[in-house]
Amino acid sequence: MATFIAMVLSAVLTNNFITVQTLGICPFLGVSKKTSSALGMGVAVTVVMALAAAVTWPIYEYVMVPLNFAFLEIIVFIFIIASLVQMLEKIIQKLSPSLYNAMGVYLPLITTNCAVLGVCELVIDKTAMAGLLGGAAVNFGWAVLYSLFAGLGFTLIMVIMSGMREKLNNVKIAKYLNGFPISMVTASLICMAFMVFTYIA
Amino acid sequence: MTAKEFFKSTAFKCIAVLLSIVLICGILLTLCNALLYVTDDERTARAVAKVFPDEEVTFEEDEVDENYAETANYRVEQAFTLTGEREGQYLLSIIGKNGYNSGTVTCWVVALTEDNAFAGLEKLVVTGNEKQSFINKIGDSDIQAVIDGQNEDGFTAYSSSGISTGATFSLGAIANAMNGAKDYVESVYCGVVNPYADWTANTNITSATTYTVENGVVTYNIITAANSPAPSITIEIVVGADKTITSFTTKSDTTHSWSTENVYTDFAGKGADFFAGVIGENGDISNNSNYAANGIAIGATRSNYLLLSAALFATANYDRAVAQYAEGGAE
Amino acid sequence: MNKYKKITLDGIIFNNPTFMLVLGTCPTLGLISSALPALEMGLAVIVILTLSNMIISALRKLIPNEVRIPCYIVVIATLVTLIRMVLDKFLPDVYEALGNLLALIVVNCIILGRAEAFANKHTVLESAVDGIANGIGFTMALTVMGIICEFIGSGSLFGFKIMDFSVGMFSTPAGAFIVFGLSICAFTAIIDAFQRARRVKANRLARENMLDDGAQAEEVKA
Repeated sequence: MATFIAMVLSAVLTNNFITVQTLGICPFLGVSKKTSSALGMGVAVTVVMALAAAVTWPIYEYVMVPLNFAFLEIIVFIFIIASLVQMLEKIIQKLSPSLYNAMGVYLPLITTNCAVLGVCELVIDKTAMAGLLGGAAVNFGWAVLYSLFAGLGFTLIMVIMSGMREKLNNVKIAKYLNGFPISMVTASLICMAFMVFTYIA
Repeated sequence: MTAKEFFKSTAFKCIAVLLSIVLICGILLTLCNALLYVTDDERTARAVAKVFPDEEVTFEEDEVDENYAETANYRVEQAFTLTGEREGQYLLSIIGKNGYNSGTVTCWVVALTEDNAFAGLEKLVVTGNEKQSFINKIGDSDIQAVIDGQNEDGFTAYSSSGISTGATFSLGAIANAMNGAKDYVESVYCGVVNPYADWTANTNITSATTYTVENGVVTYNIITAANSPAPSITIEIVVGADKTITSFTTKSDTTHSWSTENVYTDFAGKGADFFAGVIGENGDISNNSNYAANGIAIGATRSNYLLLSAALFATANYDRAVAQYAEGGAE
Repeated sequence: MNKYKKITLDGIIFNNPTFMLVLGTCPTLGLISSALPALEMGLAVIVILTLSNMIISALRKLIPNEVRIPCYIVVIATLVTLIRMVLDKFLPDVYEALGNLLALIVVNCIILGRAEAFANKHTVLESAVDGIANGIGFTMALTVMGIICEFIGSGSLFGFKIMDFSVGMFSTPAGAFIVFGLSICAFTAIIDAFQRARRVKANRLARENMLDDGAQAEEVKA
């Protein structure tokens, strides 16, 4: 239980993907203009992250390492992620057209989202994971749970960011600061706020 | 669709091109992997080269002796015997435990020996840590000061050495690693036998400890290991025939807070069960609540842990001490 | 020759992938806390971008349109794996400093972006020039921001300590975001001023030409 709490705090707050590891910045800056779309993107990324880790971890651990082709990890992982995203898109389209309309536009973008490949690379790194889990041995369950909560941390920041950007719409911004620069300054403020959490761990 | 049509279709072309690209890339990578693969030996050599940046060092890797590899304070991960110009020196990869927030510090230690006896450390290089947020405050000079501050009881990171870094507990874990290197090199390479190796509850008890038996009363002169930042402590413990403590006196320099001796008069009349209960199963120094519940002073937890370990050792081994002393086995 | 000059200038300045198109933000933000890893990352990207551009341009007639993206990804992933192996073997320090970000070059939008926008429509030579130019643009942006962040954040340059004063925040992502944002702002302002000056000059020339033409026409009439 203690490991679980430590892992959740680490994944969501102290080692947040956006504010600390700076992964998944493209959708963070690109799809955070409105809260609804930010939430949609966040949820989509979370789902893909958890699924991708759930597929890549066992393949890496039980197939690639024993058969000595761990060096192909990048190609294999990116292929798995791309096919997962495609499959998810088709399934959502079949099951719930309304959800597809809400979420579908973000799905193809996720393949080239470094948060997804990043989490897959992270959970197979034994030493990094031991640090995040406070020394507990990494297994399938932890890998998937960590990815899930890392995705939730990502969603959290997306939503906060979109809230701030909606407020930004109401003010007049200097010409050259408008657009990406002001978003990044805003993001910097969020990072500073989240830096506080590193002191509790 | 006939087979012929299929072979002419775009779908076939797509599949064929994609598959052949994947295949070519896979074969290319496999070839390169065979050429460029970094073996474990090479990684070890690299790690060693980082410890000795300006010289070529030859070494042989030794199997870590599991009997001496792990205690509550350290764990030896890898051990190397240096050869050539550095004959008689040993390189150990050690994890020092009990740092800040019960975290650890991983480091390389170069240990020197002379005439088959431990002769100090040449250097210590920190390579990693867990939970040691302030470890950056520790400079090379601080580590060197701890190495230079070695006395007969080992290395201490605090108190007598007067080193102030702002990361006392991380430095404590480093000192634990140093003491671990000393103990490991002494027992594995110098053949120093710990007479108490097969005694129970021997955590934190050094081989310098002695005892005498008279009329069924055992008098121990226990010298504990250091538990940084607490230094090594010398304690005289008298255990009576009822296997409980009759007197408990700390003998070493008593300028530190743990020397509030009146607290430990409470030890009198207590047996092994009591001390085992206070220390708890893992002997964890973070077990503060247990200490407080039994009326043991808090605020010098690590010193207290050493005192309790000594008391437990003395009471739990009463029978063995009496028996071995009768055989003339004691020194 | 003018063609190559235009490709080069576009890649380095007018369509600078980092400042003007804001692509490849993840490695940028992750690495600009110090200058040296930023420069190393930039060099790795130059190599991969040039090679991937050349390979994709060479294969552009062969690859069917429907599966082009997976093909590009395979090529890029292979190159990234290769460069990881080479670095691990010969420059282990660099390999360690870049860590996981090296693997994430695969999803760096600059590389896939150049493959999609340029390499599949141009010759091998043009693509190579484009790859080098964009790579240099990326590297310059990263190094400049790395120098700024490292100087303010830890008072050093490329690892050499030069002053004791430092604002620790600038070696964290918070500082990286601020420096990145303000750098984009400064870069666009400078380019804009430059463009405007050029346009003014071009207009003046055009007007003078027109007057000259007019004068000539008058003369002809006369």
